Amino acid sequence: MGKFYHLKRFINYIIVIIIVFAALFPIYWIFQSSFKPPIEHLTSPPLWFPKHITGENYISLFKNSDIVETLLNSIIITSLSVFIAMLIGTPAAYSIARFNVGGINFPLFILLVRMTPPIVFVIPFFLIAKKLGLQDSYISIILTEVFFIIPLAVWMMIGFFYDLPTSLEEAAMVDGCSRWQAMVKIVLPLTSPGLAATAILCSILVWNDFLFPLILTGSRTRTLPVLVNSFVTQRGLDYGLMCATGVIMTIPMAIFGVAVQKYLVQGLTSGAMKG
Amino acid sequence: MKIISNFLGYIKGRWHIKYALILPTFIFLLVLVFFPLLYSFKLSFYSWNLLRPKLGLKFIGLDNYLYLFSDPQISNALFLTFYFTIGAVGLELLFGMALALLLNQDLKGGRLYKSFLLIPLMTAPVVAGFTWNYLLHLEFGPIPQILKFLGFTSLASRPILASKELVMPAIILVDVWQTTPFVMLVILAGLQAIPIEPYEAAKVDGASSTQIFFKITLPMLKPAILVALLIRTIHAIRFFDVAFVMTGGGPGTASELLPLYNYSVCFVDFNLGYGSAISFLVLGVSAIFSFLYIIFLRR
Amino acid sequence: MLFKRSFSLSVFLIIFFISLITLPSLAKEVTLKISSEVGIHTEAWKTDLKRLYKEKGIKVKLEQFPFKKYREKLMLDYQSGSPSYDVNYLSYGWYRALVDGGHLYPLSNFDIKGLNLSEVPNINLFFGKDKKLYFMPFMNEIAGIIYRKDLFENPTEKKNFKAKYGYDLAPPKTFKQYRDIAEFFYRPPKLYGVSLMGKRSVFLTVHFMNRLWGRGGDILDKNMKPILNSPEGVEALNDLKEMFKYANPAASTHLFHEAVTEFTQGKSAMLEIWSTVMLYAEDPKKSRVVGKVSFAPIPRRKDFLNKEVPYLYIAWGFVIANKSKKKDAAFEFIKYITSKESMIRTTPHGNIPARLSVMDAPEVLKVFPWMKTIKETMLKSKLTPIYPWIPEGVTISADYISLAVSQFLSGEKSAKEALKEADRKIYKLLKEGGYYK
Repeated sequence: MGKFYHLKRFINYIIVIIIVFAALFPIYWIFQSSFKPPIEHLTSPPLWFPKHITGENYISLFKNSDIVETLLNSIIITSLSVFIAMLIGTPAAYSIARFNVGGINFPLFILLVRMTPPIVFVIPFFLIAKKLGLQDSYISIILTEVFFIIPLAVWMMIGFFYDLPTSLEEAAMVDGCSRWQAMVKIVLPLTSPGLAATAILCSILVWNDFLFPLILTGSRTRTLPVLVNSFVTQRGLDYGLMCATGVIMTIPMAIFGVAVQKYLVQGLTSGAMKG
Repeated sequence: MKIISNFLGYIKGRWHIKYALILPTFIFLLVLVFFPLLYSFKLSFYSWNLLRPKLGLKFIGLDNYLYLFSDPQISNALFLTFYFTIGAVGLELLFGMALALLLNQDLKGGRLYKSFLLIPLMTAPVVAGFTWNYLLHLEFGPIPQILKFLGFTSLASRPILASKELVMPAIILVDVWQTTPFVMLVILAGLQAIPIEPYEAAKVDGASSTQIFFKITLPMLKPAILVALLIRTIHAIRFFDVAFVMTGGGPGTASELLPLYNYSVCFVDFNLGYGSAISFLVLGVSAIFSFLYIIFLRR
Repeated sequence: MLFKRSFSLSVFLIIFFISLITLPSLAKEVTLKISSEVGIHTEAWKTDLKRLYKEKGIKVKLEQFPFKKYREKLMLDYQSGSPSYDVNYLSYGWYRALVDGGHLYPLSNFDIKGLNLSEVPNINLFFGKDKKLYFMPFMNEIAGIIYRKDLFENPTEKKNFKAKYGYDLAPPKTFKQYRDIAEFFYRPPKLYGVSLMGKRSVFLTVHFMNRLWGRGGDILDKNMKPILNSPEGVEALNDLKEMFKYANPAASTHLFHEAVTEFTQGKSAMLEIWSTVMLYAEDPKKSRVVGKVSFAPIPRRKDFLNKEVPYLYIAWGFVIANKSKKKDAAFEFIKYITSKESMIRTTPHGNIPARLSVMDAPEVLKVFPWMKTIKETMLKSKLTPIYPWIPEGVTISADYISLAVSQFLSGEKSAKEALKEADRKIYKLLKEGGYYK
């Protein structure tokens, strides 16, 4: 310790602040750019702050029926697939946590699915959707996204159910509740923070997913990441609109992420580490 | 009749709520994993060009797999995928560890810093890709200006994403920006799980802080580091979105990672037989690491 | 609580989602669904849709996609088996694969005399093997150089140029002149000699093919064997690499839009592109060089100046989906929108018309005087698509060749190696496609 203690602490603060600034700079850049009028995007050297702050990019974003439709698609696909994944994944997790169904093998199988690169599934999914005439349909993309997140949902919920002492359910069952009633009345309310965290993490995954929607969605069902990609390659590139869309896409997920940061490690490591 | 009722009774006895609960997930995954994988595996032995639908599927045995060995774009893509994985994961581990150690010293507002650092992790990779494209643009982007200010004039005067030497480091940089917070979070969780007693004992013994780090902190962090390392590796192998948006594999094949090449064979050339074979190569590479993962996990 | 809320939210979303699907089917009106790209010539024919509705009672629901995604979307849409559109407005390079897949309905099944095909150049390209017409061009464009008339005619520039190179400054006729002029105007960072599109994409193929054809080279010989790895091929690559010296260093990451923006912001003297871009350069809302630009054909090697060589030609036009239930209305639409009268109305809004007679209609020449040069070049050249005229052509041009050019420019491969590798892949592709006996 001694006299260098304060100096060292001071330096630590400086380093952390520099790193935070560096990490946030790209976000800052699209944020400030989204308020620039078109002419200020094409200046060299670039402007670090808009000269004339304008909301026109956001106005044209919400006036653009293409973008609004895509935003709605993203909301529909994300909420429905997360809902379905939670609906079928939570009971499975409960069953694994309480009855050890499938021993170690079933959880491991789920984990393996999670580790398989998505590109491996993209080709057969594309062809199967094509054969069934389900391309550009909500059904195919929602089922695929459920498939994409269900391993995460199951693994996270296993952790939450493990942490819940079994005595509570047992007491309820002694009082005459059936297993179902015990689950619905005791277990679900007690794990609701876990349910919420799991649902939020799954939403982030679906919201940001690109490869599956790129292949499986069409003009009717495409999601925001697909739209953003088409901006980049589009003939009439519009930085302002692009940045505004990026900001609209990022803000809800950033808030979600910060809200569940307590559970992030558990979620992102998918049960590899005990909560 | 008696046999049947016995049998039904048997099933009733065994049939438990626990199976009812797990069945939907089980069937769902079973259908969506095995059927597609088998279908794709079958395809990898056929020649099938969707641009020529009338030619149909033609069985060609192992030709697709044999061509993997002579296709120069495959060896290049494999090399780049390893390059990317080692570079990105290595740097992320280094920076993530440093950041975690820094934030572990209970600085004021530590939670706030942590929250800020999470934002890149929550950004959609596609958005990250176009943002960095903008940042790196030679004329309209701020990074060449920053480089010029720092004195790297030669670096600031050439388009980084068009240089075959610089394009991979640039893509690695984007990934480091985006996922270092993840490594940091995992290691931070590991750090906070280390009990305080060994540290106190070491202090009594008069150990230096370097000794403490290498003798106590690092060994106790090993599980957390391994988990971060393996998860990051598995994600690095499938890395697609950012590179697809930023460079599309170019210039030349200088950033054509394995999943990118796989995509272009399937969905630009519509050569689905060979595309399936490549996807099984991706699966193989990934499986090696997954295998390691499982081994470490079961310990 | 949260669970409950998300449940009711989901129920709401399900209802919303179902209503989203059922609503359109309730509409009774006879409407054509048409897909198109986001592009200037689409905007041109859009201007006649109101009149079409008044005169023919055909309503159009148009969906537009960004250029690069459009092809993929279109292919996937058709491969789904239930295409979403009655009519597609698409690039000529794509429709072949659709014909091959049996997705398109021949226009020849209607009375095509009404289409007045004789004045549409290259129309025989759009008849299938069955001698039926599948594609009706609306826009015909050709490669070329858009240059700054004001700079080329400036007396001081002219004097300096003559002093330096020993001949008069004028739109380039040969590749050498082209390089000289680009070098002459290379004054970074205020002005660059030429704007090019260097990112790995089909645009690189365009730059390369301009130089390959202008030297008498080609992709395939008469037996469909690839012949890129030739002295002409190597020369074309080296020529292109030299041109990049006189372009903005950022040009190596540029796509179409960036190159056009650079030129229309007045930052370069020439732009190697195709004719439609004249319309961007003359658009006062986006361009700072309005009235200062003109069009010149792509140069050639000296010994090919008076020979007929292939020349890049692009067409966009309309096709009818086989599964469309409104084929009659679809044909009516195509006939109307590609008629001479309609084209004369729509061309000034931004199109290079597919009909020769429209190109020198006085209404058109009044707005676009340079249309004359385009017509002359078209009549003098062997108009050739950038894609070899087979379904695999897209793979060859958009993937194999663009990759080879990009590999050479980035220094990854030598010219010979890059072209040899492209030849090998083309040979393999065509062999698998059954082109060689």
